[in-house]
Amino acid sequence: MNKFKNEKEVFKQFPEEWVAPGNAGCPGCGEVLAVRLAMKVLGGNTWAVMTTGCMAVNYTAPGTGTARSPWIHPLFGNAPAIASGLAIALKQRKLEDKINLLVVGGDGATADIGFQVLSSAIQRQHRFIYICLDNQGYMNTGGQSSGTTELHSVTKTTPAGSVTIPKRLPEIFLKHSVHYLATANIGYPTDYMEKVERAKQTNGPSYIHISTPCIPSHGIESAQMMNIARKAVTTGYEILYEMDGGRIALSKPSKLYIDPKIRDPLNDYLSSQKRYKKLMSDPKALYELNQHVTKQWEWIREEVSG
Amino acid sequence: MKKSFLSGNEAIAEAVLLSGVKSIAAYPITPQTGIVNRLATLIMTRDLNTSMIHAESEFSALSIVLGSTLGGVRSFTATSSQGLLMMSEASYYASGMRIPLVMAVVNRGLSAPVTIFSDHQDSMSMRDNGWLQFYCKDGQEALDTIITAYKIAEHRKVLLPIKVCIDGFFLSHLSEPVEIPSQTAINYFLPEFTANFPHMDIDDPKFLGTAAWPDYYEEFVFLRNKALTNAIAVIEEVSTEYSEKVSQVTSLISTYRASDAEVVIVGLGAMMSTLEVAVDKMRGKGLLVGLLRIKCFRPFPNEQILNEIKGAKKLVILDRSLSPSQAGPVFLEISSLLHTSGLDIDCYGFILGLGGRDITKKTGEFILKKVNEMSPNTFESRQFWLDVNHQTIKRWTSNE
Repeated sequence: MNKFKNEKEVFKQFPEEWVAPGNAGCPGCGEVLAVRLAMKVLGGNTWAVMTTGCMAVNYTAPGTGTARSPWIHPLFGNAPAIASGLAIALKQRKLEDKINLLVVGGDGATADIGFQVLSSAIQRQHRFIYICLDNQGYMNTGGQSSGTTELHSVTKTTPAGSVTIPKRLPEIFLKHSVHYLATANIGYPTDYMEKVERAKQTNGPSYIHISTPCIPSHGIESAQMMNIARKAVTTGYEILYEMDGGRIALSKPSKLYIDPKIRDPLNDYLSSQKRYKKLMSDPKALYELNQHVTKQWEWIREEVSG
Repeated sequence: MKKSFLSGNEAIAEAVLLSGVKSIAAYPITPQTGIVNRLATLIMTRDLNTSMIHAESEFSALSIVLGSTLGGVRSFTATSSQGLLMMSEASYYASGMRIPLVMAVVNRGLSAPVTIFSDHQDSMSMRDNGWLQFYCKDGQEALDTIITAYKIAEHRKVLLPIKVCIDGFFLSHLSEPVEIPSQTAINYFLPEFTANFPHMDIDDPKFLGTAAWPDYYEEFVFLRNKALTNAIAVIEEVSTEYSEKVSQVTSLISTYRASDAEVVIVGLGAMMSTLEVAVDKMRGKGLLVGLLRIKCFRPFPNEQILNEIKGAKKLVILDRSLSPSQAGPVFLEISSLLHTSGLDIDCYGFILGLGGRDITKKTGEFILKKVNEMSPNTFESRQFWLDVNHQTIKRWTSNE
């Protein structure tokens, strides 16, 4: 069943790199790894669209052209519409089954400026994979808050901590007639790659939401990126699940944590990041985030049992 | 050739299908809707393999057809007014990426106050976005221009998107006899679409949509401007070819009784065909009046225009749009052209027909009367508001 061995083996297993070294990302960037791994799964027979954001700059800053397959960087808000047009072209040229169509967007492009555009592209039921690289903010412009910024998280535009509840994008797109949907975490690369593989096999729109920590804006060390990403799962803050053919199932990395007793304390995840520094001395705020975790698990428990 | 009784919108729909377009995306806005409605019906009744997407906004509609063109398929969209403004961001991207695309713009005024009726402010607001801009005088010209526009846009020396503009309601909804060329004739003129520009290609992968910092950005703009300028010769060449293989079509400008005219009236679009009647009437009274219609506003055909106006004593320039505080955009182009060419001809700029206000054959005589009363080189002679109702203005401003 598992096509992808452990994370150490996976680079030997798929030696071909479709994203060449030399891009302009920060050392330890979660997004860069997410795109690199997705392309290992999808391969060179892929047309890819990338919204404006860190990744577009990483790829296109003059002298750093790092793509070895066709990519297009359109505008901030129109990547899913460009992909709709590409899907039409593939259909007209009878290449639909031969070429994968990938859209990569940050959380700002997905939750905010391109939200309406993605919503309609999914409604049109093209065969395409949308991967949302979620680091909870506009990191390319220096770390402003976005539609997915967590409550109480400090960003450049929420210096006292964010006061709004983020949009839960996977739940929104579950109600969007996607054929396949999954949440993923860059700390679990093979789980993520399996999900990309499943999306690749899907004959319709797929949505993968992957959480990718940001080194400077979350206030973490490059070498700690993977560990901190995993803490989001081991504390139960993030739940990895997938929806295939209408059925929602917990993914392996999250399965254990349905039992609250074995979850790590949420503080372990929060205290490892400078953006939550203020929160750590605010019991009410901590309570609110713990409540959010409880509610998310109540929701998923109902979904998987139903 | 087959003659049908078609509105401007319907003529455009026929032209789109004759051009072998395989991808259409649009969002409904009056008065453009007739094009899309007709296309949807024709695709169904003729059982055509043409993809059509009813997008969620004009921003997406234009983005979708940019995507399908980059995917290697000939594409079309249409809009009006607010819809064109909503496309603004993607429209600069289209010309910057050198994507050959044809869009019909059914001209309509801009909100606020809201209007559904025609003027040229919508397309003029996109004057500098690097697209070619054609203004048609009737449904026949709209049909022929859409087809030639694909060949011009896709020409290696051009590779730029084109707006084909028709006046809302005056052309979009007025039915006239239109000759529809045969598919055989069009196939002889317009080859099948091949992406002869950077596009999505597995065998020759590229990263499209790169960044350009100060050491390269200006060169991109220079080359785009050069392509737009080169398009003058391409438009002439392609229009001649169409006239030989299909039927007569105007390339850049057209004139009416202008060769011996002392007063030449200059303008765009459907009002110029109305004014032909006015010119005949004035000629009957012994007035030496003629018309110069600018079909191609971008690129601006400087030399061709100079050639036609150099013998005139007075130029009367009509604008259905405004560059606020200065004058109409056509007036500004012509006065700049006269200045740089050293020609000393008195110029009179008229603002008229905004928000659908009708321009009739009487307008022509009224214009000449006003010109004789005015002195050149004054504020009034730059922007004389020909048909504004001063009684209304007085009533509205009486408390100021």
